[in-house]
Amino acid sequence: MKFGRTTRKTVAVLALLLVFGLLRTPLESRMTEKFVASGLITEVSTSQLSSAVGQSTVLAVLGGLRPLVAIYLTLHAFDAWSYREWDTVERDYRLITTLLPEDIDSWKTGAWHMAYNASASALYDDPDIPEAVGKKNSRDWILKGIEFLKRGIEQNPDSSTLHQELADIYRQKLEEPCLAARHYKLAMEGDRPRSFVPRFYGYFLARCPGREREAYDFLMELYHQGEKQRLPTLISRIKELEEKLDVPATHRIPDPDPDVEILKKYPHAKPALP
Amino acid sequence: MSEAANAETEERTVPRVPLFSPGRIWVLTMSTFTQLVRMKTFYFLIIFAVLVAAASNLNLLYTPAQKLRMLKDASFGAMSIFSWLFAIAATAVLIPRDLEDRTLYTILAKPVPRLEYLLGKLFGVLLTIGVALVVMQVLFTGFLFFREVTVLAAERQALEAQGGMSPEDIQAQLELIRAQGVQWQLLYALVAIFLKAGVVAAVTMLVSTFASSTLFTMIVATIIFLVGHFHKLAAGYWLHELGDSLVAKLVVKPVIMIIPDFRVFNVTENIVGGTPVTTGAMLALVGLALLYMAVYSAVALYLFIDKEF
Amino acid sequence: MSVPAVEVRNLTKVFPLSLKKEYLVAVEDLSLTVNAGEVYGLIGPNGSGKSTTMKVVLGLMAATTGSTKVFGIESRDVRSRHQIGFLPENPYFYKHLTGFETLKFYGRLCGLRGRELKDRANEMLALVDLEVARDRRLGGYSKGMLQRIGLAQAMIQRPRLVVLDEPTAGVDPIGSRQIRDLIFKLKEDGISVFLCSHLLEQVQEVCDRVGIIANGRMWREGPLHELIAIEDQTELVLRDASPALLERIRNLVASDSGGAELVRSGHPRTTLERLFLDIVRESREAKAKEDREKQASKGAKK
Ligand SMILES: Nc1ncnc2c1ncn2[C@@H]1O[C@H](COP(=O)(O)OP(=O)(O)OP(=O)(O)O)[C@@H](O)[C@H]1O
Ligand SMILES: [Mg+2]
Repeated sequence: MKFGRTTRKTVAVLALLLVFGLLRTPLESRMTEKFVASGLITEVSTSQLSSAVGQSTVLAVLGGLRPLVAIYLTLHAFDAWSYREWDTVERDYRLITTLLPEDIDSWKTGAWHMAYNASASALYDDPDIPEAVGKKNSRDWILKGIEFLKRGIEQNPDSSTLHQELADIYRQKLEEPCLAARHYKLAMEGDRPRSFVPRFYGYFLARCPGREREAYDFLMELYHQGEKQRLPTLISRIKELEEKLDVPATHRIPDPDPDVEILKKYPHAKPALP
Repeated sequence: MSEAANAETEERTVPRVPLFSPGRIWVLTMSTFTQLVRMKTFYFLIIFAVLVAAASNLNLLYTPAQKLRMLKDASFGAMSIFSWLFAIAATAVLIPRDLEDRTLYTILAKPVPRLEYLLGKLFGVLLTIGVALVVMQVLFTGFLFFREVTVLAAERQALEAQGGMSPEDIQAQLELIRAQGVQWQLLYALVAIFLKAGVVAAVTMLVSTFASSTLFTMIVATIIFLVGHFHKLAAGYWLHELGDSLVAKLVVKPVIMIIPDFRVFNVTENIVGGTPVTTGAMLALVGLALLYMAVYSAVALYLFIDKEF
Repeated sequence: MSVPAVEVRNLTKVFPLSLKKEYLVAVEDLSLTVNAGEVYGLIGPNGSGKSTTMKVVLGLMAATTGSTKVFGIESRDVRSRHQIGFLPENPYFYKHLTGFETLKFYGRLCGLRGRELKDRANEMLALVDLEVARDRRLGGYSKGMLQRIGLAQAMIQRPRLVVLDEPTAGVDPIGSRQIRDLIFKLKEDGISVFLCSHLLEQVQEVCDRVGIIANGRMWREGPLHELIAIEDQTELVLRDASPALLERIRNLVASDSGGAELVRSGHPRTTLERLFLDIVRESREAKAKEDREKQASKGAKK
């Protein structure tokens, strides 16, 4: 029998749309690839997400509301922080950085929560926990923070900030001068490093056993860059190294003039009477 | 009958009605716009203003750049929700309502080609969304600018008080914050939101030309919208599971081809986040959106042209 | 002769019913002509296919078979609409527009602009007596006001043909009088009117020609006076006749050698109404017969 008008039209429309789909798909795929490559689109791994957040949240993420979900999680993490629920904070930041992998501040904040806040809380918050256990937990949190930052660095290899944060944790929380120095060095090579980063590299290289010579040469290079670099720590670190490396007296840098130093510290002070 | 009279009747027999008139489309566009505005659509802008004000007063202990980014993300999130929700709802409501009120009869009984009617409705919805987006952008930019200025001043003060930082360091720090502040690039994000809403409206119009009810149109359009964001991702999985089976060939693949792919339009998120975007990429996006709208409007017309009321 | 305003040739319109293979024949082999300058009334009971015919003429529906033309232009052609003003049955317009804005909207669709449009809209408002409600939104209009704004809208671009689908439905006697006067005015101005109604009195008053349609078929068509005059019948109208007198008359007729017979006696009705009712009865009987035959042939097949 003859097909009705509606059936005919439906078939025609589906065929038209199919042809359009076939024609546009290569174009769209190429555009999507290009956009992903230039960082305009972030492809979020949904399998990882859907186990952590609900299906509807995954839909929101895919539907173009990724930043909104990240905001929600940030607020959620903030709340968890105030109740010291560190596991929640950790989970939230893992999700936030999955959603916004290029957002340096989120990597930084997440690591800060783990390596500083959670680790300190593990040590001091619960008096019932034996000290040894507390210490171990605290160290675990520090290591988690480090691992977290390393993931962030994987995603943003050029970020000076993340290397510097990592170096700070090695320096302050684990007292590992060699590792700290290594990451200050990487921070120096990243984009837009802060001006103090090279000095810090020198300071902690100086503390790294076996690398004193290298550190001395580097710090002297900074020293010769002029007055701007000659901060008290730099001078004292060079002096330490001069002792350690037995630098001949003729090559040693002069002692700072105490009067000048005082004036540097207190610019409004009157010069000492002659 | 005299010749003059004859000539006159002759002339009046085939009146000169242009077959396509941008003027008429504009009349229909403006009437749709007026209709939507008088449906109190723009009250949404008040909600938006409150939301942006709230987001810009959110003082969590985060970095200044994060505070700005959060304000941007919240505002653009609200703008994109508004635009696609509105594109679906308004487009789904308009044509059935004209039919129910029999306004459609009186309009189509005037010398109005059906293509012009459809385009008038589509453009009316787009104009409303466009105006709303521009107003929201202006509101939002005001808040962001104010926030940026305050945050920058506070940060400068804090950095100077902290000491140990060279002026260049401070400058670099402030630069990072400015990068999250008011930037021309945000306009591209606005354009991307608008383009996506345009495609959504065209899809909805297509659905509404064969759907039997407003509710059905809304549901189908929403499903297409949602599925259009992940079907290409899911396709890999399904096709992998199904292999080369008949189901895969006859059902899954065609469905995936038919449903529009909205992923490309999600550039908004990263443009807002500060990823630089080239004019070329924007033009490609505009081209794709126009292609979608043209094809969907054409298919909608094919369904609508001999529809009976 | 000039081109007829409306020309319907052998129009059949079939609606498919639901998904089953059932069809509803709304209009069947219908032909009619509305001459230029004429007022034509299509009358018929509910569901007889009046609105359907009009919609086909207006291009809102496609004919299943047959053709319809407006001033010689096929209804499918958008250009035919330039000459038409249409008032649908129970019209509603955009509630959010005022009366004036509504007229401007429809005027613009017809290509009117600026001063001309404004003047025309005001003129139309005056014509349908809605000047007081000019700036009120249509959401607050009464049924009769809506009908009148509908008329004004239909005439905004000075069409040569006005199509009115039950122009007086739901309008009070004063309102329908006004509408009737308007139709007279249109006729004076040489505008053709194609209207349908089941209010016979009005049709009788204003129409030059009528067509009576039932079950989608045209049963009678022609000038009103011809339709209702029945040449071989004579009417006696008596007042205060006693039953005895009536009996005597009946007997007298029966005994007449010329073959005269008494067709009917009773209280007189307006003539068109009588014709109408007769036709409706006739069409119902025809349909019932058809159905019976169908049923019988179905049964035979089984
Ligand atoms: N769109 C449609 N789909 C299916 N059937 C329809 C449609 N429109 C009209 N009909 C049917 O066609 C027949 C004629 O309808 P139409 O509206 O033309 O009658 P009408 O003479 O205008 O009646 P009324 O006096 O009640 O307005 C009716 O039986 C109606 O049910
Ligand atoms: Mg009707």
